[in-house]
Amino acid sequence: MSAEAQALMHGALFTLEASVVGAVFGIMIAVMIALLRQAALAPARWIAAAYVSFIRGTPLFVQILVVYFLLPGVGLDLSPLQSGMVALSLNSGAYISEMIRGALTAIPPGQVEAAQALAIPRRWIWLRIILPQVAVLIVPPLTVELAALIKGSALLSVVGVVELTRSAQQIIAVTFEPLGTWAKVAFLYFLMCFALGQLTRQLQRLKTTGLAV
Amino acid sequence: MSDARAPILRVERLSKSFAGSAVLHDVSFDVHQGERICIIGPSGSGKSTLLRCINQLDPPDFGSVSLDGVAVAGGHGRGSNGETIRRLRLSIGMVFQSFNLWPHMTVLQNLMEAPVRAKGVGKAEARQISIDLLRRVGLADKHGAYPTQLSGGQQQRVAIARALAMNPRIMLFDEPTSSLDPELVREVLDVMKGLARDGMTMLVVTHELRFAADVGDRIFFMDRGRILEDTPAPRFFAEPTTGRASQFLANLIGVT
Amino acid sequence: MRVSIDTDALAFGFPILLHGLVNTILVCCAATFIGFAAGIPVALARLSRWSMMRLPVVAFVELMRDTPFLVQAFIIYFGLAELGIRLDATVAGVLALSLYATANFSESIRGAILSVPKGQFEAARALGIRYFSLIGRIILPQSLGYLVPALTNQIIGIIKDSAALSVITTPEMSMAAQVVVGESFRPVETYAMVAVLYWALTTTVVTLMRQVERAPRRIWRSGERAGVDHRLPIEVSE
Repeated sequence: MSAEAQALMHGALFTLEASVVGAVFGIMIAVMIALLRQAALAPARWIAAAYVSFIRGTPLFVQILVVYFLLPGVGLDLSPLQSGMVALSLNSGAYISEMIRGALTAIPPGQVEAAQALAIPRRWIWLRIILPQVAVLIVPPLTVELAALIKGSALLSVVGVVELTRSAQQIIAVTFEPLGTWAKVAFLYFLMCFALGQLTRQLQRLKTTGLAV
Repeated sequence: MSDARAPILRVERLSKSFAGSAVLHDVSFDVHQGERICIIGPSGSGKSTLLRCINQLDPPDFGSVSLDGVAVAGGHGRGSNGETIRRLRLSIGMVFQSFNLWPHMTVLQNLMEAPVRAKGVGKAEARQISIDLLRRVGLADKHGAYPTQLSGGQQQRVAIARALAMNPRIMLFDEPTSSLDPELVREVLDVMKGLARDGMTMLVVTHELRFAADVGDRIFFMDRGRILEDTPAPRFFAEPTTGRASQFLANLIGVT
Repeated sequence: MRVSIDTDALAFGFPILLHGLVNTILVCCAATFIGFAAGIPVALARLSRWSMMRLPVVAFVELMRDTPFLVQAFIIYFGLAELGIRLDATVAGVLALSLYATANFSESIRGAILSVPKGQFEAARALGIRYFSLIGRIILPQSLGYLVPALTNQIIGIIKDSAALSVITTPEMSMAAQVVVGESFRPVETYAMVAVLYWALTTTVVTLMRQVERAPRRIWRSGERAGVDHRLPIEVSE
């Protein structure tokens, strides 16, 4: 394999890894936001809602730059990759928290009432009845989010992270062949996202035929 | 030795409003062990709300519910008296119109969940209780099935068994057959008749008048949040006391 | 840890950012209009029975949706330049955003058309109404219930993705922000302010679109008051 092809494959793998890590941390942040949204204290709920609204209403591009410049100011000296991952995770967390919110409303309240009527403690209602169903319900949207992360990770190139887009820019700086290189890069992104899109469709088909719960 | 005439359940001056309009007006009655009370009336009369206030799914605005002498007073709103309410619910079983089985668990898991999580019963013992109950409702062979694989009548029978798994003192049935296709109604009513024969105390909100006439000891006729009639079953169907009840029965029987 | 906010920098940068905001609005408006106008034929082509018409369009839409917008912008700005087509940054930016918008809008339009009951199409056909008239006067108006919320989301997406155009130096708000940072050396305040401006813009668009969503119902309802029956003359059983 040529050096160029190797660099592109390396970049693509990096993009994939960064996206998966972003999704994992995103889920953790999303769970925290979802819990905040259920909090008894109104200010906590308001902060969570404002956070989600802000992330969804501003470009990821700007979020990445804000995090990149803000963190050193508060004493956190992170590498471009680390600050980029923070931005991606914070972004992803907001969107995934909306998926969790949707899943929670999709569960018929009667199921919770039946559990309450049976005197099952709240803790177990959450762990045994609500969460298992939420976990299954958010899988299809999560694949969509993963595709969004793969595309969004391209913006990390702006702060110098060497993922697929940055790798392409480095290659073009040497070969001066933008069209060919970008075409290959577009193809690699397309492969990853299209495959995920097919997975999403399969999962949605499973859900409607009732195989998954 | 407890006084055999002390009521299992005493409801005193129960009132409940939703969004400003009163759904239950000052409702009071006693239920004794082994009594089967059928609650009938037009929709919106507060029948379901009455049941839901008894086990506090809808906490009453005013009044109290006492089970075996332990009272839970209304007016506190949801969430308070958590433990008292939970203990109350340990002795009250409820069956819903929409079954409310948990779709991601098997029938057996549905039955075992409450004894294990709410009462701390060991898994093996819970399993045995559950299988016996499934046998009792005629679904022993379906223990490994998921609710979506069962018919409506089967699901409701599972729901009844699930409530019975907690060994309640009193069973509340909220229109248990209203969501069922007509040919599936009978299997559920048969299970309920079996329960009645075995001496279970029950409050049943229903439109099934024949069931109420066969199985009910007392009939509550409710209209607009009040119990207009509390009459022994035979007398109610022969000749209701209030005009409203007569009118209701006439309309219903005219249809069927 | 000392975090100081330099309000002088904010005051200095604000007019430039506002200018950038105007540019962002212009660029996004252009892309929105083109995306909607071009999105309708693309959606119809994708619904066509002829694979000759359908497959190229499917390829186009899937390609635009499964690749990062930044890469698309690079291809149009740098890639076309390699072929001798040197585009001005603004033109390249609007072109890239418009193509992206067309692909995304066409999917929403397709979904909206599919949400109209098939009986409407069949009844109009039975009445002899021609295809384009059918689509324009019967199908599309009824698809608005689905279309307006879906398009709102798409437009918000266009506004957010337009920020990437700053990388190919298209004049818009993020580009303006970089200019300001270059002069004031206060990136945190500047980018935070830009974020707030984007947030204000997207929130305004959402509010406006909610009014648009309500308008058709108001018109239809006034028709009911006037005694106008807006149903089709034929009762179509489905």
